[in-house]
Order: sequence, then C-alpha cells, then structure tokens
Amino acid sequence: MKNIYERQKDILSIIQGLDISPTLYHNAVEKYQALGKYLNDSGLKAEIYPQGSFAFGTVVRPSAKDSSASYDLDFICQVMGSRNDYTPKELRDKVEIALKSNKTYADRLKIDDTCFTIEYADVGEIGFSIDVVPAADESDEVKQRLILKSLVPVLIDTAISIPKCNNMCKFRWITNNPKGLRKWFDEINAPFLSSSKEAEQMRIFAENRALYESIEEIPNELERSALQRVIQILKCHRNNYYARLKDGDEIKPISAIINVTVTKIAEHFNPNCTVFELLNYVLSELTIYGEHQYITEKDFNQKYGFRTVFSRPDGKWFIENPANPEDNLADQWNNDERIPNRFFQWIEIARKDLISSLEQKDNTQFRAILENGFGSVSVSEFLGKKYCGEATPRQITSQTAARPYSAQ
Amino acid sequence: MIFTKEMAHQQIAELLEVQSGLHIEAESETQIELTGDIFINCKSKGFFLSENYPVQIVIPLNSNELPYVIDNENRIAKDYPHRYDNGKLCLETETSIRIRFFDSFSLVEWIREFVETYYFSYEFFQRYGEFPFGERGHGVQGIVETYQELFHEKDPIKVFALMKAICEHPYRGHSLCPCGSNQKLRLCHGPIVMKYYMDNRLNKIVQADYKNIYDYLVNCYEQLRYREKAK
Ligand SMILES: [Zn+2]
Ligand SMILES: [Zn+2]
Repeated sequence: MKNIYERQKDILSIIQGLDISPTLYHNAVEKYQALGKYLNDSGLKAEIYPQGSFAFGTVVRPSAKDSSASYDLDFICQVMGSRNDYTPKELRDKVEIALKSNKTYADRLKIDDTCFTIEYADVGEIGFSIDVVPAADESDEVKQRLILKSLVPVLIDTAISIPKCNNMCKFRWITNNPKGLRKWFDEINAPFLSSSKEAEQMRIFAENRALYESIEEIPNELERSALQRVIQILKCHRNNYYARLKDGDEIKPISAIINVTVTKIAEHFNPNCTVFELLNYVLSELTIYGEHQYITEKDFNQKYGFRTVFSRPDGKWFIENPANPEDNLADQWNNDERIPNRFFQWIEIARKDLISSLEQKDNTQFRAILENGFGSVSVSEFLGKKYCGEATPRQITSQTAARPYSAQ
Repeated sequence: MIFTKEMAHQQIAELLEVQSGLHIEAESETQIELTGDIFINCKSKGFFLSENYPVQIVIPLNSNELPYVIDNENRIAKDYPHRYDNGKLCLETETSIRIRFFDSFSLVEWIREFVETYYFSYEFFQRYGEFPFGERGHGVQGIVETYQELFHEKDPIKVFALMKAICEHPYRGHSLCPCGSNQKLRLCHGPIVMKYYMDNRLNKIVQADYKNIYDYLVNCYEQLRYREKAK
C-alpha cells in the first residue's frame, strides 16, 4: 500500500533534519553579531548581515563524504562609506587587518579570492563556518544606471560593491545587492509564510521544548514556508545528483539560480498550497523552460505564453537577478553548454524522484530513490531503516564489474 | 558444451530460488526459455538500484552458445547503445563471460555478475549520462580491451603478440617474452599468462579470439589495399 502523503512527510523530515537547528541558528547569530561588535569596537564602522541561504531561510547541510559536514553561512561586511571612498584593495585590506588583529578570529581565519572564512566547526561535531564578504555602498552613478534598467527600482538602493580579485590578483569592484534580493524574496515569501505560520510555530515549539518556554520566543527566521521547503528540497537533491557526476563540481547550478527561479515561479501560485503541490508546479514549469534548449525564443513565446523566468534571446541564456538588472545569473551557461543541458536533465530526474515515484514505486524501490536523491547517510540518519527491504543492497565492485559491450 | 538438459534444470531450480519472479516459459531439445521479472537490488558509486525488470532468458542446450537475455518488453530505451535491435542485451564480451566461467558455468552467478550489473549500468547511465564502470569498445576493440585487462598490458600490439604465442607455442619460461621486452617470459608476462598456455579450456578461448582478431586485421588490410588500387 503506497501512502503518498506519508512519503511526502518523510521527505520533509529529511529536509527538516538537514536544515539548521535552532541551537545552531542562535549560535551563528550570536557569532556574527559579536563579529560586528568587535569590528565596530576596533574602529572599523561596519554592518554585518546575512546573505544567501542563511538570509533566505533555505539552508541545507551540504552532502559531504563524512556525516558531520558543516554549514557554510554567508555574510556581507558592509563598511561605512561608498566605493568612491576606497580602492577595492584598500577596503579588503581594512577588513583583513581587523580580522587578523584579534586572536579569536585570526586562529579560525581562512582567506580566499573574495571572502574571509571563519571556521567554527569543532572536530566530530556538526558546526558552521561564517563567510564574510567585504563590501561598501555602491556609488550613486551606478545605482542611477541600475534603477533605469530595473523592473523593481525600489530594490536598488541597497546595492553594494565588492572587491573581487581577478586571476592576476588585481582587485576590481563587482556590483551586488543581497539586501535587495532578500527584500524581494521576503515579499513573495510572506503570504506563503503566513499560511504555514501556526503549524510551523507548533512544530518548532514541540521539537525544542528545552530551548523555548513559549511560542513567542521562537524567532520568525526559523519558520519555513512551502516556498522555502521547495528550495531546500531542490538544493539537497541537486547536491546529491551532481556529487555523482565526474564533472559535477564544474557544472553544478549555483544556489542563487534555484532560489531565484523557484521564487519567480512561485510568485503567482496559491500561497496556501502544500510543499508538494508547489514542488510539482515548480518542476513542471522548469520542465517547460527546458524547451528553450530545442526551440527558438519566438516559438517558445508563442507556445508557452508569458513565461519569462528563463529566456534565451539570440541563443544566450538569461536569468535576471531581480535586485540587480546587470547580473545575469546564467552567465556561465553561455560559456559551457554542459551546464544548461545537465540542469534540465537534473530537473527531469528530480521530477521522477520527487513526484512520480511516490505513487509508482514500492517501498524498497522508494528507499533506493530516497538514498539517490538525498544521500544514504541522511536517509538513515532521519528515517532509520524505514522502507528497507529484507535484503540489503549488494555492493558492486567497480574494478571488476562487467561493462556493456556490443559486438556490432 | 555448457549445459545438458539435466544440468540446466538443476541450475534453473537454484536460480528460481533467488529470482522467484521467473518461470520456465518453454522448453525444447535445443533450449529452455525463462520469462518473468528479475529483481535487482544493488549499489555502487553512491547509486542505489532496487527495481524489477521483465526479461526473457534463453538457455541453449547441448551447445557451446552462452545463455542470453532478451528485453522482451522493451524496458531499455531505444536509444541506449547497448541493446541489439532484436532486444538482446549486450552484457559483456563473450571472452569475459567464458573466462569467468571456464571451469563451470553458474546461472545464478551469471545473472548476478553480468545481468544485474548490466541493468545497474543502464540506470546509472540514464540518470547521470555516464557509465559507472565504463563501457567496452565495439567489435574487435572490446575483445582486445578484455585481453589488455586479463594480461595487465596496456599496449594492444603486445597483447596480440602474447595471444599469438599462447596459440602457437607451448609455455617455456626461459625463452624470451613474446611482448618484445627482451626479458625471459617467466620474469615478464609469464606469471600472468601462464594459465592460458596450460589450461586447455582457457587456451581454446584465446584461440578463438585470436583467430577473430587475426581475420579482422587481414580484412582491414585487404580493404586498405583495395582502396589504394582504386586510386
Ligand atoms: Zn553494446
Ligand atoms: Zn612481456
């Protein structure tokens, strides 16, 4: 007997398990606020705020080879003043010097091209690292230019400039707008959130009795809407899918593409939907956008009407960052066609795994699908042996495995 | 000869114990035919497969022909490169299968090692666009590859020289290795290839493949000469 509803619930419990826990959340908030306080105390006037999945509430634990992978949480360290007040190198150096002059941070610090990583993971424990990207306010000239191009000009005010190093290790400014993007996301997410608010508060409260004495103590940031869950499910499925590919690291779609396209698609959907109703809709829309691979822009628009999340004028893929009209999230897709090809193949697999197999497959088959989609470590961690057959799957040794061969 | 009728029935009984979805569909003096579902439950490279596949399995009797599998309900996608038009699955080179079972053939092991792995590769390929364990080159190339692995020798020319020696000479450890290394056979490829000289059953397999490759090369050469002349 296939209980589709129960299978959906089990997928959700894996995702809930991979989400950041309230304890870790409070710990991370404390750490980034302390960092902000330290920087200001030491004379660097700056604001630290979350960006990316931590800001969106769509964190999932990365699928790692070992089960104690740590979360990567992204933050902007916006130094007072605009980009006209510094060279990119000066701004970066300012933040670097401040971080290095405190032992707590210096000991945990890792530095790469664009960001400073402060590692809070302790050995054998699930921890997190804080990625800090230095930034300054974007110049008025650039903001004016963006406002003219933008479909949502009110978002542009928070645009920032980030020192980015090119391959010669020369720094230049890159425009970004994480605050604007968050504002855009929060507005679309709001009706979804209010529809699940009560249930979410009850769930979080029931699961964290030791942490909260009343529902009022639970921060809103821990509540999850159907939209956030859909993004998390897809990110987790993506991690596991691309981890199996030889070239997976090179061609994996960036999280921003999942966040933005799913949110744009969800914008006009009924916010009182269930997670799986929305997931089904999102995946079928993404499948339609896959048609861009085979037909012209004109034919696509004729056939599928007003669908603008992905477009392909002159054959170039385009996904607009709603908070920065000059940012094409699909930039890389135009340099490497493996990325769009594989992306839409992945969507097809995700649709099979997450929608159709729930009603078509028996329990052992479903277990295999869960392990393929979410990683066997996570499935065992959150579902135990549920859906396992009597026989454990036999391991095929790859060195000696048979290889298909045609004589003709 | 692989199976008498009695041997086949005994092994089929063992097979049906582990693959209870199969049954004997038809039986004649020349072959037994099984149909039904085989259940596959395996994992590798982080991918899990738990699935039933409808198949027809043909077991030739009193013949040297290997058993084979037909995808009788077209479960394998039409564009998959390793399924013949008549539905027969391209499991592996005959060389690999015959050498694996040169001693005695086991239907149960054959299903497990070749048929299950075939479906596993298929599903992995459908999902990820890659072969989990690779695939063999077509035709003669796949046979040479098989010997490259069996002889632990990357160079196909050396492999061919070793096959020729195995077919034409007895094993002499103190003579020079046919690979051209200028070393004694027993200090070079000898330890690995010795059994193909010594065991009659293995030697026969190498003989048959050597002849195939030889004929193929002669054929290629003649075509080349024909084309040269035509110019
Ligand atoms: Zn083939
Ligand atoms: Zn040698």
